[in-house]
Amino acid sequence: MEIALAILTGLLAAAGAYLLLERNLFRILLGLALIAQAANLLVFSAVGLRGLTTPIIKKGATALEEGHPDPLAQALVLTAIVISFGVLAFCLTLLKKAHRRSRESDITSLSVADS
Amino acid sequence: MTDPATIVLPILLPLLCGGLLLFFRTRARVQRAGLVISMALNLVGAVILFSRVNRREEPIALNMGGWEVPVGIGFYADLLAAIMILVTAIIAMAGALYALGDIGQTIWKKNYAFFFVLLITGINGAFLTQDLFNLFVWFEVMLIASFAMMILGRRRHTYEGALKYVALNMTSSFFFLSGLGILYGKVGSLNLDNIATVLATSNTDPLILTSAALLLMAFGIKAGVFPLF
Repeated sequence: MEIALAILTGLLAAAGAYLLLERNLFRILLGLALIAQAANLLVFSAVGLRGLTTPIIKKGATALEEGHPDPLAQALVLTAIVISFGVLAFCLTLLKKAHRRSRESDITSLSVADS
Repeated sequence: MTDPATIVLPILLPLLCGGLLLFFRTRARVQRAGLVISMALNLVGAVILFSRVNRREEPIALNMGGWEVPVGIGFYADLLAAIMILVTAIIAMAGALYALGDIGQTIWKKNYAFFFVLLITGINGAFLTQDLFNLFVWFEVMLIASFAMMILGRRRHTYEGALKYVALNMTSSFFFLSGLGILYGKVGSLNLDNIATVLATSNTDPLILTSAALLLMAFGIKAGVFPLF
């Protein structure tokens, strides 16, 4: 399971980096989305994948028993997903506005003098 | 007001003012006055926090909701954090006064003041938090406010700059996220104090070095080390 997730994370990050280096703005955005997923998967699996049990602290105990998945990593990923979703939505609007303004989707066509 | 309660002032005051400002978005004069008032309140909060921290022997710490460290998210203000908050508040006050003369009428009506205040809230939060993931969240608060402020002007080159800035910063945010994820997997805590204690003894593990490289890259990009402007 860890191996499969590691390969998937690597593939997502590689595809994301490839798309990020393109000149087409929409592909850059897709690249960001893929890298976001890669980062989320990495956080999710970095903590270790342990069992399919529910991580609830037993009555009277003060800590989680061994062998349970770490619920904090999942909470982190959830927050990160929400954040990346929000920023990506912002990016899409930005892209649409930039596109409407210039009718171009090539990032170099947007530049005026700056490089 | 007790000492631990003063630590939330630099976040609560600007955030409350920002929320109020949203109700008056069409009235430029209210927005202008509101921005100056919120930054003045922020400055007052920063001065109170600084004087309290300065007077005490040990730093101020507050755990949200009363949850203790391994579970809860803590706020922590030592003298350095208090000084940074104070410096931010002074610069923000100066910036707000400058904005009164520099920012045009139409931009005030696009919630300029709200984003300004949100930006300052994010910076204050980043200085005060004791939790690595919480730091990431405050960075994002700061970034989204700066993204929004960048495109208020709406000239042609605005979009080019904004798209590059957003793409770069998102990439660096994901480096940051990966770095802290790996670190959490290895150390088992996100509390900066705990991480420092663990890393003081074992810091040659390949995973920890990887996460250090990722975090260095993330903060480097955010600090403008790369790309070289």
